[in-house]
Amino acid sequence: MTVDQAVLDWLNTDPDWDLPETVTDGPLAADVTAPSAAALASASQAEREEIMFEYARAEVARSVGLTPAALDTERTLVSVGVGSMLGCELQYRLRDALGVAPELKEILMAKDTHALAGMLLALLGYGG
Amino acid sequence: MTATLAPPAGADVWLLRQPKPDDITGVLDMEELDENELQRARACRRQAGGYLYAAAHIALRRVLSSYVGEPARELVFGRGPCPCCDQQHGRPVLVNPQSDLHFSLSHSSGVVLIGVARVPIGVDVEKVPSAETARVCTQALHPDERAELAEVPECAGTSAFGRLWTRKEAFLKGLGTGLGRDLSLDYLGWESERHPEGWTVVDVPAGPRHTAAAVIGYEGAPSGPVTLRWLPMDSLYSGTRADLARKDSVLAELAA
Repeated sequence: MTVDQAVLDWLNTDPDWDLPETVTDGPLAADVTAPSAAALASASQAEREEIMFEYARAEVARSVGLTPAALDTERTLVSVGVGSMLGCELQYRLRDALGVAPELKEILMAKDTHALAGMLLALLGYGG
Repeated sequence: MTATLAPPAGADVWLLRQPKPDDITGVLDMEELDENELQRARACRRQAGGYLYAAAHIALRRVLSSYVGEPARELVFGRGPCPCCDQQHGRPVLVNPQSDLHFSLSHSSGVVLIGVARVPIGVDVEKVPSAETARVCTQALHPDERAELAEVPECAGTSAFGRLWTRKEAFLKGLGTGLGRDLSLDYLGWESERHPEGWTVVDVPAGPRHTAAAVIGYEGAPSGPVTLRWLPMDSLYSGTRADLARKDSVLAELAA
């Protein structure tokens, strides 16, 4: 069996192909604060949508290593870099913070960050 | 066009490594892709992600083309039945040409993995995650898998987690549920005799920064070896027609 030396080299070394992202415009969020139940209950539906969108944006941005402002919230979560593992991590973060989270498959199929925020509101009983 | 590769007795697993941007010597043959694939490649936020998506799908088409003897761009994909419900959102299948070949595709951070077999197969490759991601996601696994990971020394923890995760995801892809099935239900840990009956689990070497696995649903005992094959990047470029049947494409025969 003969194998190209370049292949063997690659299997044994770190070519550092996938460099970490540098496209940020400020410090990454170390902590993301979820809205409290009281804050959501006392808000109007329009305000709730805004509050939940801001929170979902911050969580998704943190999971892919971006600032919230740098996250494209109009794209699917998968196309901004949320794969299966990060999707699973995101699910746990949402559940820890809000007590509810969509199924992993729903997170990975979310049309965009707005849709994720909508799912969270619906799970909390604030469906439109 | 005639097929240049025979359907494997066991399984063929194709590994593709995307070169560094400076080492890319050709242009991806985007004409192989259909409108849906092109749209999804363009939808990736990072250029690298879109490039990898396109490379993965050109690779899948060219590899399958070598087995079925149909031009890569003529292949039409559909979805098989879901094992959980009656809807057609199970494993991806070939619709044209009609074929008994099973396949699975995965890509992550510069690496593409394609599994081909005559029986259901799932493959998964993932970049080894951060310690934090591994810690959080471990909670989702089978209780005995969690116990096994708790025994792993900290320095090896993320790659051990990655190995388990890719086994699990490959299994769920082979099963056809994908991540719609709860990750805690099935055991894919270190004790192979406890793996889901009828499925063979194989760890696939995928370089220093990734873990990968192939899970194959033989009817009965494995019917042949799992062969790891190298898919050269330049076989995806415009104007090339790489001979995938070359003997030196074989990297290893993996023990099942």
